[in-house]
Amino acid sequence: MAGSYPPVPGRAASLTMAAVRHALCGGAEVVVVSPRPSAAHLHAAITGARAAWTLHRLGRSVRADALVLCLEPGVPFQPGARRLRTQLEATLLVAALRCFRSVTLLICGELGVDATALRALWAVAQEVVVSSEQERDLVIRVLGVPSSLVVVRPVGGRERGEILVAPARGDEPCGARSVTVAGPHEWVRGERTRNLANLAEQAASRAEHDAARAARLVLGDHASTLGRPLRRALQPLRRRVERRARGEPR
Amino acid sequence: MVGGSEAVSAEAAVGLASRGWDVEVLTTCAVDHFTWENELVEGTSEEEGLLVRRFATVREPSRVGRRAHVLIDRGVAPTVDEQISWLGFWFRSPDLFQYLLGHGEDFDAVVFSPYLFWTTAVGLRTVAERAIVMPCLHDELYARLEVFRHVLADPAAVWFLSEPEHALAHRLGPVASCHTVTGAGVHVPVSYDPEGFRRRHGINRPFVLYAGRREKGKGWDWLVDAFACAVEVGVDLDLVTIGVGEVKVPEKLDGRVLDLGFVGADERDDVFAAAAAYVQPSRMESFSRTVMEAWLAGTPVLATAAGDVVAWHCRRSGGGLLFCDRDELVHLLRRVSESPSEVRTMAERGRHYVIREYSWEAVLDRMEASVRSLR
Repeated sequence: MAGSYPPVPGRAASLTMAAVRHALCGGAEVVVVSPRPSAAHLHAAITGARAAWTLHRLGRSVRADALVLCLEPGVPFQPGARRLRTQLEATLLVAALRCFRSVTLLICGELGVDATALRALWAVAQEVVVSSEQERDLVIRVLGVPSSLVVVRPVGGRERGEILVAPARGDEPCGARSVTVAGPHEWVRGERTRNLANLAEQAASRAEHDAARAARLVLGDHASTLGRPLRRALQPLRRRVERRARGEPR
Repeated sequence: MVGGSEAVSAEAAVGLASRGWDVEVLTTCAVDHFTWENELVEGTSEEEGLLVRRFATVREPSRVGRRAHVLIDRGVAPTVDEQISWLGFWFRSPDLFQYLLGHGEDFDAVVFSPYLFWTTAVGLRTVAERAIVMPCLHDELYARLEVFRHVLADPAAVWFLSEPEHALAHRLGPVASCHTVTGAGVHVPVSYDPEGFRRRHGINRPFVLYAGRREKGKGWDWLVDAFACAVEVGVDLDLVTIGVGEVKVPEKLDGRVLDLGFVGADERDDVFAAAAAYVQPSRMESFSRTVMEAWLAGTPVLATAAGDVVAWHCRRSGGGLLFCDRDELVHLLRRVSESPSEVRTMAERGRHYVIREYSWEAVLDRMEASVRSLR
């Protein structure tokens, strides 16, 4: 499970908690990762490009069959980010999600990102969970989620036992705030670039279509807008696409 | 773990089990509330006939949590967001949270205590509709933090240990509609052996006792200062202390302060009986079990008037004397030293009060009635 988690107040945490309860009742063994220290077992960055790496890495380390990921403002996509950036992050995320046998996406609130950038996500999800009929209509109409995937699991307003917070609650981007969190040592000291490169490699082999699309984005005019570590991480992918463009064998 | 709340919880669990309730104890592997190290083995065990499940603690405070802790130490309330990070400053126990999430519905009621711990503030959300909180509130900044407001407002029931604690809760904010003053039970020892205690420890002089956590917040540092003043003016008493926490005393008190550390139940009862008086300098009490133990042992109590709870007990029972400042405590210590029999008669009234109000039978009756009302 990945998403905001108590004691963080709000609907996203409630939705993730309900999903954990649901999975536990089904007899599953559950490991929870949240964007900030919480009642989850682990906390790590699940925002932006790092989200894909984190989920991929975690999925492998705990040998998870299934992933439940709560999409909320700031987790994993930054609201208001450029479409290109969201598209690239979504592509990397799709590659990471393909490592899991089953993927459930929880959608909580207005994500604030370009809907078309998220389309690829729906293809890897077995289930998209929302908390109300109104949200169901919205995700189908606005985000383009196939109606057959959408499941409604009601979560009300403030939950009993939830921290009483005076400001607006519910959809605030819990992960968007810059809170420095320490994870296991390997995450803190980990060679992020190398791992991202591995992920990109895997993206190429596992999801050729998505990887090629990511590569096109890298090779396009917008490449200069990407951060240096990300550019470096995507070098193997770039070389592969260039080789293919030259007609060389794989 | 040493503490009033922990002792009441443990004895209530055993008492309810003896009345036929199926009781499970969910707790951590820690025994020290400063380090929260996992010192005990994780997993299930049987202790005093109860099934005990221990879960590991995790300690990795974030920078935000550390900063918030510094602010709270200075008496400043951090922002709500910082408070949320601070909740995990001492420890977290994800496995305990997950156990509650998966099994909370198996229980008729889940009793959380005290209010201040992560297990209560965060765990409550998993089973709020069947949660009972025994907060053991003190009048302190922690109790005023926003992250604890739901602890009193949201559970199915709240158990208070005294009327002043109950009144404090209402001053702090909303309280769940189902709440009651259950009090806390105290076991009445069959016999005491004060002479045996003196012999075992080689104590020949009269002494006053302090029992509990030797911490600034519990008034220990203040007591040592006040006792030093009493010694300077010639009060002929020593100070004996039992409990946990480091004991540092000034050189001028060498030979006048004896730290026996943590002692077993029998030794504890005997030291209470051997003392000329028991001193309770702490304002931060929700029940003050040690005051009850002193009265049961026939020992008078000198308590701070600033502590609502102990002052309430002293006024109701007539078993103790109150002091407002250092000079008044010095005066009372002189009185204990010079006319011990006069203050001893007060303790009799205290003993009757404890037996009347705080026998475990009476307390368990109130607790059972509350649990039944949730079913």
